[in-house]
Parts: sequence; C-alpha cells; structure tokens
Amino acid sequence: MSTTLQETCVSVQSITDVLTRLGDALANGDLDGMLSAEPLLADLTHALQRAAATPADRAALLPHLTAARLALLRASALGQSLAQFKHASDYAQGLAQQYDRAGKTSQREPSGALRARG
Amino acid sequence: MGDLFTSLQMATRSMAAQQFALETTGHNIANVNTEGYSRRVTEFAAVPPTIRWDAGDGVEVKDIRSIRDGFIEQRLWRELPDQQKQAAIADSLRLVEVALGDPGSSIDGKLTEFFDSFATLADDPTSATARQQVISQGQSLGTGFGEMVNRLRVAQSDADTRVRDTVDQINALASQIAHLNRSIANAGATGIGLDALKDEQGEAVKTLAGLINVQAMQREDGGVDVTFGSGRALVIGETDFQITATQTPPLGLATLTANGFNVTSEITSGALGGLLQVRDTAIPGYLSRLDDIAYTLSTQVNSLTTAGYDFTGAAGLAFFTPLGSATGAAGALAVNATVAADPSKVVAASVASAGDNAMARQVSNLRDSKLMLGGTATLTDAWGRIVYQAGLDSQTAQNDASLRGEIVRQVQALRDSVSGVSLDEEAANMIKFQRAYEANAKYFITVNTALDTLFSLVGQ
Repeated sequence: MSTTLQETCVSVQSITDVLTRLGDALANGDLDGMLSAEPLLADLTHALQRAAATPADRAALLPHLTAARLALLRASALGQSLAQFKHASDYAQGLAQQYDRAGKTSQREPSGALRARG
Repeated sequence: MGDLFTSLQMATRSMAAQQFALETTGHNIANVNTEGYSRRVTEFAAVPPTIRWDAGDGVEVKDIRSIRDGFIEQRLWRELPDQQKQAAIADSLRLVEVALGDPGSSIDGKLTEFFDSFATLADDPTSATARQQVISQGQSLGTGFGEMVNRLRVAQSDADTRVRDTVDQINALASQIAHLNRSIANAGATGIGLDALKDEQGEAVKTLAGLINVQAMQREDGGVDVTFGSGRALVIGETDFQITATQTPPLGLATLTANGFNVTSEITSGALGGLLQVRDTAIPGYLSRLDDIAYTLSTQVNSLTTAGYDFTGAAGLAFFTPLGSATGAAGALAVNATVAADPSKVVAASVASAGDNAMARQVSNLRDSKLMLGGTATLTDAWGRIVYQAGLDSQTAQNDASLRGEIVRQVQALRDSVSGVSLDEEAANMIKFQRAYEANAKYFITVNTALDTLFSLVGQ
C-alpha cells in the first residue's frame, strides 16, 4: 500500500470513528460526548479535504469510504431527530410559538408534542 | 355542616377511591412487562357539596386513563414501517450475497479461466488440447452464468414466498382490528375493559404498521379505520377488506390486489414494501446487469471469431450462440453447438493459416478491454460492481434498520434526560444539546463533499 493511500485510508477511518462516536453520543443524549467530538471533527475534516486517491486505490479505499458515508448519514439522521425533539419540547413549553406576517404561528405543533412531557 | 353519618359516608367514599388507586397501581406493576400495555392513572375528582357552606363530600374516582407518550409514540409510528422495510431488505439480500459467491470463485473466476484458455490457445494455436480447453471453459462460463441466474431467481422466489406470508399476516391483523372495533364500540357504553381493548388495538395497529404502509384514523366510537397505499381501505369500522395475492405469469410471482385493483406498486414501506422492493427492483436490477455482461461478452467474442478463421482455414463461426438482445442473455449464454462438437471450428487465426494466433490473442485481450459501463469497466469489473452493489444495498439496509430503532431509543433517552427537571432547566438542556449538535453539523457538508470527491477519484 502506497504512503498516500495509507494516509487516505487512515484519514477516512478516523473520520468514521469520530462520526460513529458522535452518533453514539447523539443516540444516548450524551452532551459531553457531543462536545468532545467537535474539535476532533474540525481537525479531521481538514485532513480529509487534503486526502488524495486514484482509481487503483478503489478496492482498498471503497470499504472505508462506504463506512464513512454510512457513519455520516447516521449522525445526520440522529441530529435531525434531536432537532425535532427540541422543537417538540419547545412547543410543549410554549416556547415555540412565533408569528409570521399574517399573524399565524410559523411553527406547526409537532404530532403529540403537547402530550410528550414526562 | 353535615352530621356524623354524612362524615362517615364521605370518609368511606374517599377510602374506596384510594383503595381503587392502589389496585390500579398494582395492575400497572403486574403488567410492567406486557407488550403494548399503557400505564393507567387514576383521576380523582372532588365530590361537590350538596348544601351551601359545606366543605364538600370528599373524593371519588372520576376516570382511569391510559398515559401514552404522544411524541415517542408518533416517532415509533413513523420509524417502524421503514425499519421493518429495511430489515426485510437486509434479510433477503443476505441470500443474494450468498448467491453471488466469493470474489475470484464466481463469475469473475470463470471469466478469467475463459480468457486464460484463449491465451493458452494463442501460445499454441495448433494444439487440439488447447482448442478443447477453450470449448470447456466457454461451456463452464455459460453454465456459470446460467447457475447465477437460477440462484438469483431462487432468491426472488424466496422473497415472493415471504410476500405471500406477509399478506396472510396483514389479513389476519385486519380481521383482528375489525373485531376489536366492534368490541370497543360495545365496551364504550359501559367503559368496562375498554383500556385493555385499546391496548390490544394499539398493539395490532403497531404490528400492522411494521408490515405495510398504513394510515390509521381514530373513530368517534373508539375504533380505528385503517387504510394503506393510496388510501385503500383495509379496515373500516367492523369490516375488513382482504388483500389477495394472485400468481401471475411469466415468473409466477404474486400480484397483490385489493377490491379488484392491483396495489402491488402502492406498497412502499413496512416489511411487505421491503420484500417487494427486493423481489421487483433489486434482484431484477442485478439480473439485468448480469445480462449486460453476458450479452457484451457474447457479441464481442463473436465479432472477433466471425472475422477470423478456424483450424481448417474456413471462415470462423460465432463462438457463442448469437443472442438477439441483452434481455435473458445470462440464462441463454452457450457455446455454439457446431463449435462445441468440433474443436477444429474454434477460431484462433486472423488469416487462413493454421499457425496464426492473432484472433485468439485478441479474444484473450478482451479481458482488459473496458467494454462495460460506458467504457469505464472491464467485464470482470462490471461483475465486481454487481457484487459490490448487492453488498452495499444489504449493508445500507441493515444500517438503516438499526438507525431507525436507534432514533426511537434516542428520543426516549432525551426524554429521560430532561424529564423531572424544571421547565427552565429542560429548555436550557435542550439548547445545550442543540448547540453541541450544530457545532458538529457545520462540518457535515464539507465531509460529505470530501467523500464525494474521493468516491469519484476511485471511479465509483
């Protein structure tokens, strides 16, 4: 394995690891885990942007790239779910009502939000 | 002010109410592991005084209601059908992955052996053994393609069997819900046993939602109407409308009808949606790509051999039986019977000379020619893409199924982490969560773009 390919594999694998840890933190409502992922993600994103590859690297790199994409999709989906939960939580507390120019509430009540309070 | 008798009566009523509440708590504890059971809460109401200037007549049980966590339930309802769909896809595609075989020992291995045999013939174009070997490897390749088609058809047939089983389960649940609707409407008048029936109803609808994309609408009498697809009735009040699976030519796969309408394409999620996707989209897609490889191989080899000469110096014949189109090519790939019966008909020469090997060399060189996917892939690469795609489809489905389950658990975890604190604390905690996520999410687009670039650099 060439040095460039090895570096790219490491770079993609590292981003997969940090995205997986972020996903775990999002799944478990672990605030510290989410906060500790951010500086790592910042560094690794820059490294990933500099990564290079050629068609000859396909077999070695493709499994790593696929794993990274799946980890990114997972973190993104769990993040969106968190945002929706916050919206539901805000609505239940009466914090989400904002009015548009027509005087209507600009955010719709999430389904079941008012009954969501534990 | 009431007399002693009234006071005692009030105390008795209040004690009975508290006794009832204790029984409800006991009922909750007893059902802690019951699937679909909703916690009951006893609601008390003050008994108003019967005369003015009286403090009141104590307390009585007003109602017992089920506590359902609306948000989590909604989330479950939204995630469950897709979770079950992806689980069904992952399950069925595992069979496909096994069918496709290991790298090097499947179609790719047979392609290599076939081209190797022409390379050997090019090294010794007069060798009768080499000519026979070319025929044997060509036949082995044709058999390999045929067996692969059969294995994929078996996987498709397996998905079809599961489609029929799932339709049976859906019909049974529809009957159960219709029956429960009748019982709930009857129990509504007295309220006796209503919560248990509602739990059973909720569980049945939830199970149904895992099998097919349904919409459930609450009825005023407490029952539930269920539709699926583009609003097709499955349960309306006390009547259920069954889905019918009918065997349809040419492959004998089941077509699904409801009230005489073909609804197969309307079922897009739930386990049934996943099975239909594997049966009608994923496997036919792999078969089509397999056909493309077989057709390209056949036409390319034939175009060379028909331009060459056989061992006797006669004009060359097509090595493979000519195929009319790519459709069904993988199942029909076979060595031309005339060539198979007479090894001297195998073409090695580009001129009418027994010692010439130019055409055998050209056929052998096809292994490295980028003939597939718009000139970007060799025949073996194209096979590799099918295997990779099937693996990716399966892995994506497995991940998606587990992610959707994870989202439901996440919402419960978030709820646990913020419940029981003050409203201000809850709002503050949620803002912290959101800010922490946003701090990470700002890198997502960059990461995604960088991954896209790397995918394109490796030719994916």
